[in-house]
Amino acid sequence: MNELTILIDHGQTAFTPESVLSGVIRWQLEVPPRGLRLQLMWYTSGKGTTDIHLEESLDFSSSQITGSESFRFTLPSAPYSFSGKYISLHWALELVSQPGSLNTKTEFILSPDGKEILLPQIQDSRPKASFGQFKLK
Amino acid sequence: MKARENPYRSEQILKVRYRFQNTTRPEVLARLQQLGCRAAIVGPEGSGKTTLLEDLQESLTAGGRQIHWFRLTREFPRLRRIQQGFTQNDILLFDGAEILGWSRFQWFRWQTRQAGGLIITTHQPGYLPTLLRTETSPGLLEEILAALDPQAASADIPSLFHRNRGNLREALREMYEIRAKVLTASK
Repeated sequence: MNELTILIDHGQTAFTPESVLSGVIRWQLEVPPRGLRLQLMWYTSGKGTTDIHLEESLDFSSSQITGSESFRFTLPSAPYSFSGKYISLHWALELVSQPGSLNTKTEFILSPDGKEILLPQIQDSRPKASFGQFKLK
Repeated sequence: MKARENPYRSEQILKVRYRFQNTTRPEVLARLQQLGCRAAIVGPEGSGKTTLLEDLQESLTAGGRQIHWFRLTREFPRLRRIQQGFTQNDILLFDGAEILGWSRFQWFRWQTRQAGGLIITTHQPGYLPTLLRTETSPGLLEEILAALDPQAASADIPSLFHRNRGNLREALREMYEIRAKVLTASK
């Protein structure tokens, strides 16, 4: 059975900008991998097209069918994790075994207070069109 | 409120694959072979033409063919330079072919005549023999909504379908707005 695991130290799920994110990856595969890649990334989700940005990656060259490796990233100062009505930005670690498409992902929050920033709902303040003395509501 | 929790966010919509109505994938692939792998998927906007074309890609690459995509939209109507030297192993998938116009499309056909196949999507028939007409129905919309959102059962699906003139893409976009309001109200 193929299994990829990302374990963040102390089970931490929220981080402040420029702090250290460390942990361990574990894998148990049916065939020896050519390598494994751990990617630090952010991506958006919502009504529009998904945007993905690869911040940094670590390559592990093991060809063992089972094993573990430790990792450590220094997180950037931005962007922060946030959510609004139309877009959310998520930070994640993704572990991919090569070759093949086997992967796993774990999300975390990056923000100054360790909480996802919630964007306030903006009321539409555009003036309504009017024709003479009649006003469209 | 959170976009990430909306069941109609774009990555969820992209997971919805084409649902064959009154036919099956093997039947469509067999018909494609009969048509010499030169055919059109015809249907109105938001009826699944592009989704079906993407799904056919999987079946065609499984046969070892090389796939080349061409995509035109009203916003991006210009065709990139066509590479020369296509062979029988190459299959061209052309989404939005009619945006080229009929005469320019004939030129495209001539330029790519060495390729092993050309499958296009159009709103109207007449560009290539029709492989399949994509159609929508309130029942199909209901099926898709049920797969995406357990709370969709309470929606007035026939009204949603007719308000969007059978365009499922637009209906799903409207559902995004409806759910965003519900999520906002529940915060």
